[in-house]
Amino acid sequence: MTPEIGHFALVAALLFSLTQVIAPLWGLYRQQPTLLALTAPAQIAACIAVLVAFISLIWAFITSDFSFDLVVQYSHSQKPLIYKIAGTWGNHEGSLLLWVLILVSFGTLFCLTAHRLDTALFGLILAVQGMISSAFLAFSLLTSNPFRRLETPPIEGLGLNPVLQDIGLALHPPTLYLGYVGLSIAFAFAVAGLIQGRIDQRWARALRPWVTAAWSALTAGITLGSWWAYYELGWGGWWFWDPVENVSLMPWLIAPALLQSVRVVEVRGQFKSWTVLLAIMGFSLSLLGTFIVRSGLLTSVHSFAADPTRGIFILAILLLAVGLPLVLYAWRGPRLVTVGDFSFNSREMALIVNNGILVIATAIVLLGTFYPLGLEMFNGARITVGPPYFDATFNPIMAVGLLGMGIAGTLAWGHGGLPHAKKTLLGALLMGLVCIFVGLGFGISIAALAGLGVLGWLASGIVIDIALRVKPWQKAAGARLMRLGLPIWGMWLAHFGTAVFLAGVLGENLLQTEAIVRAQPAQEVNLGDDTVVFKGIRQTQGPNYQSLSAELQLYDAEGQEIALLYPERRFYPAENQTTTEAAIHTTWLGDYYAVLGDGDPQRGYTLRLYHKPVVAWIWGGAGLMVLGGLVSLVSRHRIPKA
Amino acid sequence: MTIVRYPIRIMLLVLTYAMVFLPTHVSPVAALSAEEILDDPALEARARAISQQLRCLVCQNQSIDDSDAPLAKDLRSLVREQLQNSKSDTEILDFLQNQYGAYILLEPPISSSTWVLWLAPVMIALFGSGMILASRHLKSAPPDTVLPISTPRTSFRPRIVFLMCFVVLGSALGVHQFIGRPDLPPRPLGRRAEEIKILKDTAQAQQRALRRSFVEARAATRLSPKDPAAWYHLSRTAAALGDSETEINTLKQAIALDPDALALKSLLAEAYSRVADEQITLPARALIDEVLSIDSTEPRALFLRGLAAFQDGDYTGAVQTWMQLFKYSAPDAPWMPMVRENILRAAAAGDFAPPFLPDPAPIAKMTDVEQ
Amino acid sequence: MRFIFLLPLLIFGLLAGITGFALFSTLSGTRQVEQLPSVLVERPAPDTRQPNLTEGAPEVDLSHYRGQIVLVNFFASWCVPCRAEIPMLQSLAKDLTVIGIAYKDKVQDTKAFLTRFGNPYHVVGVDLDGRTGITWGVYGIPETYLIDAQGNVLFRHAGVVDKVLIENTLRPLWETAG
Repeated sequence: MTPEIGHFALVAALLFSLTQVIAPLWGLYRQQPTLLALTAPAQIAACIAVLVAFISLIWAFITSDFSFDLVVQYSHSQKPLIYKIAGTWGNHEGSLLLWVLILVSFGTLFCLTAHRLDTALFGLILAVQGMISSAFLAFSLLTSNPFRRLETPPIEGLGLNPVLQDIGLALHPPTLYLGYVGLSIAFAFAVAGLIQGRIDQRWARALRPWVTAAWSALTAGITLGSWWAYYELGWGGWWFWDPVENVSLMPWLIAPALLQSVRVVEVRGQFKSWTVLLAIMGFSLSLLGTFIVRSGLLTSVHSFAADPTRGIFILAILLLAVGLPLVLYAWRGPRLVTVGDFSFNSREMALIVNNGILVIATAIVLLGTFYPLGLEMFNGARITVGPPYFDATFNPIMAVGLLGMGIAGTLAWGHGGLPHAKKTLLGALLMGLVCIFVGLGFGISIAALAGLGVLGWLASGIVIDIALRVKPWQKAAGARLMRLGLPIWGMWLAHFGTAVFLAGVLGENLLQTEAIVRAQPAQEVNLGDDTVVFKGIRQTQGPNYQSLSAELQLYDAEGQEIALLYPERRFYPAENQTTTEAAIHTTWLGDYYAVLGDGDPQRGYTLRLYHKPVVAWIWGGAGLMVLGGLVSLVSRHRIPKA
Repeated sequence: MTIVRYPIRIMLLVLTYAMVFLPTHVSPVAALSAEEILDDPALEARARAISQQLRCLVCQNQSIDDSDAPLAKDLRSLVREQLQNSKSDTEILDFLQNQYGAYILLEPPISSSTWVLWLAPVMIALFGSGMILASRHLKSAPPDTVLPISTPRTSFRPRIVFLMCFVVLGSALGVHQFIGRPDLPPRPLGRRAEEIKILKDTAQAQQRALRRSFVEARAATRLSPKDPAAWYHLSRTAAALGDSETEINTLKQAIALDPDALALKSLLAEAYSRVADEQITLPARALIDEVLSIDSTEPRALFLRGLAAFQDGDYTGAVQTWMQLFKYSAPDAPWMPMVRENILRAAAAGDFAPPFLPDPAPIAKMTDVEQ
Repeated sequence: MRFIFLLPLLIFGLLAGITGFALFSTLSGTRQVEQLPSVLVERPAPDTRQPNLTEGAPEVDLSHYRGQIVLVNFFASWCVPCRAEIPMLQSLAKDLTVIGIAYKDKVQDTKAFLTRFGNPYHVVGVDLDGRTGITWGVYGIPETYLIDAQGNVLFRHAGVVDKVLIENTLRPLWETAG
């Protein structure tokens, strides 16, 4: 198969996407059912075309076809197969193609599942999707064509940055894109709803699973990235408040808010205008992230060589894709407002508060991320907004939000809480205070105390809520358990995941011990109560790198062997780069994390050893959140026929 | 690039992918090394806390505690030194802010340009709370008329769908003829073994031949060490092998034997530049000036002078020099195409219209036809 | 009430304005991300006494050059861009006193560098541990400081000195100052 077919398919995909925009709009305007019926086939055809393009690009990478400029730039014949494949999206052009592939796949999935929606809404949603995919396909073809050819192919490629030659690259981008692009469906729903002027319960019911799926994927994607950074970077950090991280955090904060407010539209027919706004915001923030990253505007550790034409192109897409819907919203949004009909202690109110907190938190992240750029444009001054700023502003807001989460399950729709709301509240308050008092004994910082209090409140709130609903001490607890239904389990799982995550964060901050030493082979190093014996150093040959690894034997306080660790330093000759591979021994209670630093046989080697209690809970908690999302996805309701 | 970057974090690298700046001599781990750590654990804890407040200036958004950049290391040792001189935390932070500005602080200090940043979260929170409280008292606007866009049923006609696919694929084929390269065949590495073997063999054979002539030329200089031509010849074979140091030394020998040979001096100037990544260095410039002061038409020196002007950003000067060379040289001189190309490039860089260049190639062709 | 519904558009407009402006000024070259503004500008240059690169020669003391316009250039042999600006510094040496500070560089490396690429400096001071660099706020070399006759910093440039910078910025500055 010649990858040139991929180039042709990419052109065809653009034309199919344009058909997907024109057919429904023209068909609705002229009331032409035949034309309207072309929408779904065009979407499916566009999806097949992008898939062909993507597969042929992967093929070019697998076969090391160096007549493709992109393959020369980012691949090497000696690279292991998995990284040849992952390298396809390890660059701007290929990752853009993956982005579009996921976009059209979502569109196709929508076509195949949403046949119960009324035809006008169906057509409008696909038209909006088509506009986005056309814009990005045009972007790809005009400024970032992955199929650029070379007349005289070189005999070897330049290789891929070794930091990227990792399973993280194979998993993290596709998952994150699933999340980003999943929000495009919600965006299309919102715009179509605004055009049609009708947001109803069926609209919300059709939309909700998409938001759940997108949020789960975003969570998984961000978590994978965080975990990748944790093991690859060599000092065990997992979140850095870097602009590129921040722009991925913002849609992640908006998505749960959207999820809750869609639920209110579905159940109570309220919050319509707010829901539409959130849906537009979620995807807009994803687009903003794409723009920031690919234009290289904000200085980020993740930034890459910026191409001016790219920046302008995405800015133009951004202005149209976000500006127009917001104009539409300013015009038609007020018409969607419903009269508020709920009391102060209703679940609606709790959800509004939670929504508000998530949006406030998003606004703060947005402010902190863009303020330095704005200030520089305003008066040329340069400042840094780093982690301390976000710790001081974002964390308190989120702490308040987490308090709300602990008792969310106890409130009822409309008016008044559930009978056990007061008990739950009191129990949670008590546990929170207990945690703070325990923390006081250890003399930790106020922020950590607050964190502990929130953790106690959140975890006990959920547990008490479950206990009071199931009443395991009475008869027929099993039946009550079964009656609860999957959605509430999904919520509990997600909320409980948050508690686990918080515990991981606190543990990592409060309990970590570290030892940074220069050691000779056979030397013993104390790491807290544990002992690490530096057995020796050895050289090995990997598939496309040379490796220097240390053998470390880990003993606990009783002298029991815990594990053997082999931290490595690798040299990749093709790319002429060095990486470090931390060795991590993960247990439920904590990670042992070892990094081999600089050194030579005479001076000894720098060893950086960490014991990070409960750090894995950070990712475990996020995993529970994803699981919660998936559980409620499985339990989706059918859309009643019109 | 003026600044060496140390982007070593990869979190969400997805989005970015090409961390092309990663310098080769840096391993992402060298950050805090064992020697830097202070003996006093309390002081060391303070040093770490301060380091986490300071931005590594040459990296992007890293604290100096996390960074392996040399400047970060210097700043870390400065912080520890100051701590040992019993400076307070704020004194150290103030000192560095005084040298580098607020940019170095990861927590922006409150000032005329940051009060908005610090006040805004409070305002956002207050505004948000207000909106939340107001939400229960929303008044509904008169409902909008639903747009008259409802179609009873779509009518799916396979024939129309096929027609659409046919039209789209046909047009795509047409567009691809323009922007694609249907003429280029795929070249997977697996099927290029023969071609690569030939390439490598030719390169090896060439290299062998060059090395042989180098050995012969060296033998010639041993036989007649007073013959500048022998040294010149050796320098050329060394240059072909890419051995610039030998080239320079042999050229110097040749010049010592024949001090008036201007061409040799120009060659030496060129060799000087070659070892300096093609940059026309000050010693090279001195040689060029010397040559041109004696013979203002020496082509190599003129070419190099033009190049020097070009490198200095003096594009008019470059074009003038190269135009002289263009005038003095025979139309079929081997360097003419290169000079033409360079004049055009300099004019493009300087953003002015290139001077008129009579094209030698067509003239030659015309005479061919006439004959 | 309707204003609330305009708010998202306004915020987006502000954001798009900032990023668009930043993008276009980056493209036109007026915004250079690598150029950090120096706090030293319009302040007295730090007291600087460095060992001379030539052994036995007197210390390089900046205060000796009061009354002249001085260009202080931080460079090193390991810094690739530093090579490119040497001819430019040479041309500046006609009008100004150009003082080099060898930043975190071994003495013999600096000497070899100056032999190979030429020595445009009036005098070269040695800053082995980079401490002097820190007091000047140096974050990436080459960095060049223009100092007036009173010993105040007029201008700092991080990066290679080129013809455009000399003609458009440096020359007007020293001509008005001198």
